[in-house]
Amino acid sequence: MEDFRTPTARARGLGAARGGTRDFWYQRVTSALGVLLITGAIIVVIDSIGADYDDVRALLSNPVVVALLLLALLNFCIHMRIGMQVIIEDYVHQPMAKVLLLIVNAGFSTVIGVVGAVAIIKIAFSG
Amino acid sequence: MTGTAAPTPRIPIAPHMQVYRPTLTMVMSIMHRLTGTALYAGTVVFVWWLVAVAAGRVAYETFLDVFGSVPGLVVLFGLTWAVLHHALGGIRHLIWDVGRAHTYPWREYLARANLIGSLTLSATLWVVFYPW
Amino acid sequence: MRAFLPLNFGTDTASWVAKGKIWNTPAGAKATRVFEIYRYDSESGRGPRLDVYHIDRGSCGPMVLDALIKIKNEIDPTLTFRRSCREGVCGSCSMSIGGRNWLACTQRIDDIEGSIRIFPLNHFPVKKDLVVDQRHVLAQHQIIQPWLKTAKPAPEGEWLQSPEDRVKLDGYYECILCFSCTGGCPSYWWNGDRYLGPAVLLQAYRWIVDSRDEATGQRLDTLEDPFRLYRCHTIMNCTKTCPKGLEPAKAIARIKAMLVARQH
Repeated sequence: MEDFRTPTARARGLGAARGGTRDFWYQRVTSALGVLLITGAIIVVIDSIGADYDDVRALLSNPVVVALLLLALLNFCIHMRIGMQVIIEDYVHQPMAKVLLLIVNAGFSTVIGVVGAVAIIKIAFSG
Repeated sequence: MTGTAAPTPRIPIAPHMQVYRPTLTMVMSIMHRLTGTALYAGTVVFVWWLVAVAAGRVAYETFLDVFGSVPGLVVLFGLTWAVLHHALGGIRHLIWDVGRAHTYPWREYLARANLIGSLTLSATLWVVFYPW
Repeated sequence: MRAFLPLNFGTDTASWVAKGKIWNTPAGAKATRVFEIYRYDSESGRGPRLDVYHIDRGSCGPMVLDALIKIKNEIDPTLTFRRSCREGVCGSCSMSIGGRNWLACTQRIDDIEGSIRIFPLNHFPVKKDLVVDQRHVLAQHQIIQPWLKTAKPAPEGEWLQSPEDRVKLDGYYECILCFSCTGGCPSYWWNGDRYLGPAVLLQAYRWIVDSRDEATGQRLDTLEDPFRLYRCHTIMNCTKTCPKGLEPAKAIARIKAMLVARQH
């Protein structure tokens, strides 16, 4: 099908969405906070190396560790949802495929966050 | 679109990716994206670890068996590097976002520091903390 | 697959470059340089090809443009390219030379090792040989309204500007719109239909920071879009390939910072 739109019509497209700044800002906020949170999370993981099951459980039910891991999980689920959305928008141009992948992305990020949080809370409250 | 109409002449697009000489910042941009994608999948490993601890001793032993195997250790080392590379890359991007280090040679130094830093850091972490 | 992936992710057979003609080595030449040049003629009925020319460096000027003119004058008059000022001011002769985009008139032949490969500006539709179709990118340039916009009637003299405010335009007003940066931007390759690209965004910033302009907010509104602006991922190819030494990536970073600033 030949495209008879003028270059102006094509360039203007659907106009400016007046958006994108929020995602851009959240991505920067979560990356700056992420550097701190991931450092904490790495220390926790290192601390668990070689420990037996009861020690790991005790470590993960420490209130500071619980708070750190919950914050990290929330932070990175936001970060990875935005990041993957940018990748999908960059490379996937077929409208149906794009919408489907955006939904899968939002779903995956949410499921990871919720399942992880439930696990952390369960460990925290069952000693 | 079924081939009944005369084919419209297709105008070629000038070659791009296949003729562009890779630049360090461009390669680092691709690696930032690849490590980000790897970490996206890697969250499954992290959540698996949490769920295994929550589920009990047997589930935790299974987790240790899987990630204590050679392929498992390779995955864990890969994720370690991906985390550190992506985190340092994030700092690089934050510096660029505030308009610093855009000029030569600083932008190249940043990109190089990113790569060298992530490799040495992940190697150091494993040498020091892995129970060899 | 073509519908699923971005335009021309290497899947577009019309853009494949075939091997072309190898033109004769000049007789009696001492130091020849090999030029591999993209050729395309829509009237030939064939796709693009890569022709090989041998140039006697001794009888050729120092710049790539000199070699192109020499080929056109002495070897193959059908070779088509844009050029005008031949001194880096007009921006006509930007093209892909040795794997990056530069002005043919300011690119020294001797700075490139081995065979010199020349293509039209990356990812632009090709009209003929090294001449590309700029209609889309120029229409994108119109979107940002590259002129002084004021509600107040023009003063009898000049619009006044302090020296401090004038300095803010340095590094941005010098852009000659050669689109080397836009052609070198991977984000523009995948999303050039919606992403405005580095050249146009640098121009947009040049008007946004102009203290005499009264439409700053409106200009930011026009750019605030996930595709028009935020496809920029700071890959830095634009800044590296600017033949005028400008920094489009920094201009774009500043625009993003302003959009964040007006939210908080």
